[in-house]
Amino acid sequence: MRNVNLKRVGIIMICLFTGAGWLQSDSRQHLFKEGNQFYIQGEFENALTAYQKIVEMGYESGSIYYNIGNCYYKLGNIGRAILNYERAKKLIPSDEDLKANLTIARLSVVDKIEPVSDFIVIQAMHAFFYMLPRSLQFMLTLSVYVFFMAILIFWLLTRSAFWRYVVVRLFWISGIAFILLSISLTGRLLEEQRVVNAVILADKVDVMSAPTEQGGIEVFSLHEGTKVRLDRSSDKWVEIVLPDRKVGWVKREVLEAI
Amino acid sequence: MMQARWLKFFNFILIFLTFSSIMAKDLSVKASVDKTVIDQYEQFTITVELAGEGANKAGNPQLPETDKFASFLGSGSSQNIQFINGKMSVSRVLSFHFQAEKIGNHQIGPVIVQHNGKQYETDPIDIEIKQVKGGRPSVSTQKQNKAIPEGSKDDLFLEAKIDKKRVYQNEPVTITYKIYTRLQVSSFGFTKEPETTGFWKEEYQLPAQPVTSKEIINGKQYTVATIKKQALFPMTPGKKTIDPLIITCDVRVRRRSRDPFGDFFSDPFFGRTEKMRVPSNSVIIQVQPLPETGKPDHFSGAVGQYTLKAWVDKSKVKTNEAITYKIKLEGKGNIHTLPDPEVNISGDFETYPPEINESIQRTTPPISGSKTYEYILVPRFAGLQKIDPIVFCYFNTKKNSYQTLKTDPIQIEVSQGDDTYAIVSSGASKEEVKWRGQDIRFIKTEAADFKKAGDVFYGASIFWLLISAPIAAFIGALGYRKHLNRLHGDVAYARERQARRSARKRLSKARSLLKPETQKEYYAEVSKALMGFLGDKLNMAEAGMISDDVKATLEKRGVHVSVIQKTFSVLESCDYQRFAPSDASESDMRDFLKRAEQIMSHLDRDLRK
Repeated sequence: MRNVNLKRVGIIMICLFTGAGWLQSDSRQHLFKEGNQFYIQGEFENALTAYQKIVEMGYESGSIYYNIGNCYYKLGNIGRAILNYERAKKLIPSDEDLKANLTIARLSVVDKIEPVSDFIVIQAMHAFFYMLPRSLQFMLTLSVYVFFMAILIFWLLTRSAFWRYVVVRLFWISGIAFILLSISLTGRLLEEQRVVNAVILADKVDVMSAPTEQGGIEVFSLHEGTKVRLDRSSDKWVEIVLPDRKVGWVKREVLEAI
Repeated sequence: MMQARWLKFFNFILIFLTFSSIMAKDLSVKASVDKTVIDQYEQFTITVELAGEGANKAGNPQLPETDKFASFLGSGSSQNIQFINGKMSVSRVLSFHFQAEKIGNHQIGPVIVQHNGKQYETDPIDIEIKQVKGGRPSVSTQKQNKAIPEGSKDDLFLEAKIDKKRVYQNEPVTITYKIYTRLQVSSFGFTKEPETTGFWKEEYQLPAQPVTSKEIINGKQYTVATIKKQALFPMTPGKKTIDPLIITCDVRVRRRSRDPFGDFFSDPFFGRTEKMRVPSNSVIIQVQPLPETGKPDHFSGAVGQYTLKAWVDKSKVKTNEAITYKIKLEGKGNIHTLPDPEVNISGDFETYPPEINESIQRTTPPISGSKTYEYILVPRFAGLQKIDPIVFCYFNTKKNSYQTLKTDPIQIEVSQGDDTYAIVSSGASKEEVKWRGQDIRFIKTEAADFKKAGDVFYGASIFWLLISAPIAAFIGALGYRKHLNRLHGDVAYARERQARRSARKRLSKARSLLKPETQKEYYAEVSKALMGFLGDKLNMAEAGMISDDVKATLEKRGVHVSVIQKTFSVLESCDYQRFAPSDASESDMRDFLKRAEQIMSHLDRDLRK
């Protein structure tokens, strides 16, 4: 009885949230459509301005970052195109169009870095973590959890031999699914919190061995569009780590975090 | 618009086709000989030409066995890169110089080149080595040569002279062969040239007609002519002996007659030509290794005196516009075997293998000249690009020390060009062919599901609700389960829990009998309800209930005395009404029911304490 009541409250709350969202979304939808119109007419700069207004309002989605990436590509700004595709990738990781465009954009990147490959289990884990968009993975984990608990409760209440037979099996299936999903979600959240990637935006960057202009020497150079991991930072400099584990310092303004 | 797109597409096909054709002809190898009919002791050259994409990457050719009929003198190589209609063709030419030794017909076997795991072979070449006609006697005539008298040392001799006796490795020794004669030498030919293995040999150019001069030695006047001059670059340290050079001269000899008039006929026309074999002296050269002290790490083996220059033809270009980058090494020394300076050009440029040109001055010693490297660079990015300075290290024979030359760094201002077409790049650090014209996919037109940036799902209250609600439900269910279990296992608990319910059931049945006609049944039901209630509450069998026992138990459980009295009075009046009914009005009956209910609730309250 009580359970049902809570669920009802939950549903009402969801409706309220989305309802409130709809009320505000008019202007964003309008801007989005405007951007699309400009893009179709080949006015990429205007399209970009329209799309960026939505982002400036504090909203995001996979599609908007994808479209912004397209505009930048068309305008010849490969670094920003890749930056926005990477942002979209966080929200819609398995989108086919996004994958295709990111591949094309990366063709124009000069630096070819051979990543040091991880242990195969870690690779598999990665693939597992990033199969679904994050929010979808959340929802899925949560629903499996609710289902699992419901099965548990039903198991406590029923005395029928048939139902108990069914329920025990469902209990194990949903239990294992829940554990796997929780592990992958936790792993993903931890990784996302720990790892901040960035894209090089300057044409060419000389990477220094220390965060000073004079104290260090130039260790290697990178070019526009290369994705790097950020590590430590000082007020004007950040330490970057390449996929092949080269490390160096660059000025903050040459890159932007994804 | 449409047309332009088609043109682009057509361009791709073209580019693709040309590339695939290059791919198909990755490497072709050809071998040739500069002449197929060769005089004995004459030099000939086997030229191996590698052409195609793989020319630079292919291994060095493996030469066939030629020891039986020729001796190896040395080798050289040159490279050539051409752009024709944007297509790059690379060719590498390697020349191998030999001296023909043995007369006869010979075959030069196939030259083998390894590339990408494949083996390329050239066709074998037939050559003929002939006996020398005229002045130069050949090996086969050496038997006759023995018959040729050696000229008297006084009248005719050949001197080999070296300018230095001690040299460093790769420092040239000039060896000059001079003929000293008091006789009339009408012509001469080289019979045997000394072996110069272990040396790189550069022949000086001498005038076709030897320049003669007069010299007086031991009071005798000689006519002197330089007939051969060589620069020898020793390749290995140690004591080296250069064997004598043997020439054969045609000498006019006056008839030595006792005839007192003989002098009268001293006219050359009456002279007789005699062949004379003239050997030179042999020379010894001490070759010392280059000093180890102060030898820089990047020393590559060049010896002599050099200067180094590097420059570009223009310092302001647009992207994808070619510039020429030249490096010139100039000086005295073994130009031909000069090691190539190490050139490091950043990946921001497309680079192609350089074109190398040599020019060597061989008229006056020392051997000098220049070597020029011409690179074609295509900048790929706008901005200020740098070309690193070139460092070249050599051993200076004048100062007897190692010296390092360094060019100035070059800066090139690159502005953005408008061409973004297919770029061919080479080298390991860069990518393969790029199809820049390939277009990205179209934008997303579906209205997007915007959400507040930075929102995290676990921040929403709904999330916590969905997490906690099942837990709460689970705890509830757990409690309920326990309760059910008790009902099953604990009779007293079960009866207790059911007491009111069954009593209420019976009372409602009694209520339906609330009529004067069913007075008896009515009181029976009330009695049963009350008795049942007591039985359930105290967990006693209804049938065997003795009022005293009940009373005692109730007292023990702390039920108030007045409640007990009331209970029993109700039960008694029930029995009375059942067995000796008096006429009771409906309202009396209702009151009675109320009393029974009241007692039950009192009992319930007191028993729970």
